[in-house]
Amino acid sequence: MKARGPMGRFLNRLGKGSIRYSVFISFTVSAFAAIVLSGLTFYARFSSQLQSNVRSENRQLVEQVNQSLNSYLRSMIRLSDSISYGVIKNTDLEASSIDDKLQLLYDNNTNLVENIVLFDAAGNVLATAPPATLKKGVDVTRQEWFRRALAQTENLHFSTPMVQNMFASSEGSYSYVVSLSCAVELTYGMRTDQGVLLITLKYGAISELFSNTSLINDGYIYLTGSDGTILYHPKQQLIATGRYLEDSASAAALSDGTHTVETGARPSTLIVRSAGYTGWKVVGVIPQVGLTLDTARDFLFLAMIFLAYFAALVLINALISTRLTRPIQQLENSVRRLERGEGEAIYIGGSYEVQHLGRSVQQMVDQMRKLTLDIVREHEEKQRHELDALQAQINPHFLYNTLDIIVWMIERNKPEEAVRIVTALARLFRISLSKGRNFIPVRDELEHTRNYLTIQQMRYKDKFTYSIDAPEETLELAVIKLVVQPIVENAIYHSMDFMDGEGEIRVTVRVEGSDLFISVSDNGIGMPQDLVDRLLVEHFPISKGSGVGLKNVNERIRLYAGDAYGVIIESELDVGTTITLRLPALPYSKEEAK
Amino acid sequence: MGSTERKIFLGTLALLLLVAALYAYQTLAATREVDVYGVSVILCRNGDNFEKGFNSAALEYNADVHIVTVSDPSPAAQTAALERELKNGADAVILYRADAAELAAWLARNNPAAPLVLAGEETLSGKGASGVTLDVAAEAAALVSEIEKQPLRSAVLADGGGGEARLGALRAALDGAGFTYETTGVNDAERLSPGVYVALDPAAALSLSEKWSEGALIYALGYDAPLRNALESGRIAAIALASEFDAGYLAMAEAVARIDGARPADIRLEAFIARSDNMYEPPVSTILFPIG
Repeated sequence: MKARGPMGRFLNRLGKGSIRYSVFISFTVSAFAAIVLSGLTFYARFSSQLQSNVRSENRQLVEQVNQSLNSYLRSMIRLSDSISYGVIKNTDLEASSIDDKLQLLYDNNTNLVENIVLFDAAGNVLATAPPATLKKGVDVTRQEWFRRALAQTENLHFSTPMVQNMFASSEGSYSYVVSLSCAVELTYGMRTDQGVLLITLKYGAISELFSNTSLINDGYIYLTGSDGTILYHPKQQLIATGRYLEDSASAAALSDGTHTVETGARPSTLIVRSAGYTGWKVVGVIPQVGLTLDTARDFLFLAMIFLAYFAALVLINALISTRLTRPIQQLENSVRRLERGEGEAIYIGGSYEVQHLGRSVQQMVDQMRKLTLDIVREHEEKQRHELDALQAQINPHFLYNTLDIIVWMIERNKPEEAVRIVTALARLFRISLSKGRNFIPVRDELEHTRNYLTIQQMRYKDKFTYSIDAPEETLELAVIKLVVQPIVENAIYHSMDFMDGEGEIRVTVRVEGSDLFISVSDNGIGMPQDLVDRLLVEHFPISKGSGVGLKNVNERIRLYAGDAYGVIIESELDVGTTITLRLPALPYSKEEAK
Repeated sequence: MGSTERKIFLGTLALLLLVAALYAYQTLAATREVDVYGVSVILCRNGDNFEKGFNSAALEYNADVHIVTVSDPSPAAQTAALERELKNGADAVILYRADAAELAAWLARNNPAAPLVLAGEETLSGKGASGVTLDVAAEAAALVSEIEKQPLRSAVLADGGGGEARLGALRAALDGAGFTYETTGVNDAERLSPGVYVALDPAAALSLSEKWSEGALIYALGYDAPLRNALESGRIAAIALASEFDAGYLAMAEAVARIDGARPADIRLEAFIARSDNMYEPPVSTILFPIG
């Protein structure tokens, strides 16, 4: 069944093309497919693994930053607690000052802390470290950090980064701080009152945790408050003036974990971690980049590798397919030469199968040649035998003698008998000369024999009698032309010649099974067995008669019918001889007769 | 090898050579990309925040910055500094508050190989140099909107060398608001009379703020660090300003983009109003006091 469609047509064309091309295409396609599939599989696997590793590394980086931030915040909370519970709570402010203790704590944390200030509930400064004076006009009670501390006394409050503007600073200099404020209990003798502890943390300590970190694809990490207020961002300045946009509010609303969000033209991966206590969120942003110069070069490199492999495959497979199929090609060429009659030998070489094929073809060719020669030889033999048999019928002696008899009968005024002999002679030659036919019906063969016997009977002056017995159903069977008459001739010359009116020749025809038997029996002198054995082997020249011996008849029968058929001789001295012709019982047809 | 195999092989080989050529070209293009950008910055005036901006961008874009401070305010000194930097092989040159007219004339005579970026109030539109420019018209309009909040409708314009562009924009804005005004230099009076004074530059504003007295309302175009106390105390009522940090950052980014082959851009900076009540709140706080 032919495959359909373009693929089907290609496969059909492939199947009908040369074996070398089919082998080449099959090897190349399968090997290249294997390479591509393996390459893609490994690429997908390793790419996936690499991406997973990179994502994991980035997550770890964000986690590390978050842990550093948490560690910092814990340190500041501990500092605040130390001051609140270790210094302020245990000090009677009426009796002693806490400036020295605050200064000590400040000195130990000067890299992280800008100021430590203690206020009373009215906003008056009770202690500062380092010593500083509030700017004129600054009312801390109206500031957010102060109000929140008194409103929620159990919590510590972190503000967003801001410019330190409570205390005077040198012209042109400024610092960004984050306020850490909490309510504290002030002790004045027997009474207590509320106050506010303010620790202004250097913003640089926080920004330093983020400023030297970067993620893949030009990613970055930023810090946002719980409401989305940017606390640190590598492009903080540009965000403030609207030159750069960051959807920190949405990021702040996300839970801890990894999220994919659409930001601008391309999606980004956000890694979100919550900082303890403050509600701040550490957000890692990894843009998912599209095609860049590097990725284009990667694709080109990959394409180069695949094309190089493919070119190498084409070359190797062309060589392999040529090498594999060359013996087949040579075998084919030798067969073609043989067909054209230009060569004699078939190519035998190559792999075991090709050698076997070559040997088989050579044997087949040799067998064909032998059969052809046999056919030619057989045909020549047939022709020769027919010619011999034909020549036998035109034996001059037989003709002369027969004509003499005719003349004698005419002279003796026996015209009826003369007519009878002439008629028999004419019929004899008619059948003998039946052109182009190797087979004739039994009827005609017996007619021929009868005519011959008629003539010979007259010649031999009725020395013998004859009978021809053939059932009606055998008359239309086929028999090789001119096989019975030579047997009868032999019987006459070898047996009847010695008889004196008592000679008897019987021709009988019968069918047994699938065989036709034509027997010529005489009651002559018989033959010794050794002569019988030699009759069919040697050619016995006969002094009288046609000279076409039993051997000729036997060979002709075997040529046409096969070795199972032929002449059977039975003879007994002084009793007689029966020669039987065994032939296949086949109906006669004019077309097959030739 | 049969003819079909030969065709396939030669076709594949041709494609491989084409892809290899493309790859080589891309690799060459990648190696041609500059690893470190050599950018010279010529400061014709002080600009701390501008400097913070371009340093921040230099870190991000991997630029090696060579800073040249020109103390001589003459245009000749500026062009001399420019020519020196170009001769020294700068990949790009940023000029901060240089004389735009002088630069235009110089560009008409020369064809520098390195791209130029002019940052300040003056533009060089269409002259082949990039510009990072304050929108002086927007600045003047914002300031006049502030001035309109008080009842007086006349003003004294104090010009300390703020540039023609600013003066022209301010006049147009005042005209549009129906103000009358007179232009004067910073005089030697010890105290200001009550009225509205508009300083066209930070130097003039500082001078006026030192002479402030009750009833004088000082407005300024442009900010410098010395004006902080004056603004905080209220001696200066309002300042119209642009983010110098942004100017520096964007100027460096534009210089790098031009080195990579981008066409010249004209970037406009929007104006903000700073007062004592918002100077410590974003975005004004980040403009007056850039982080980092």
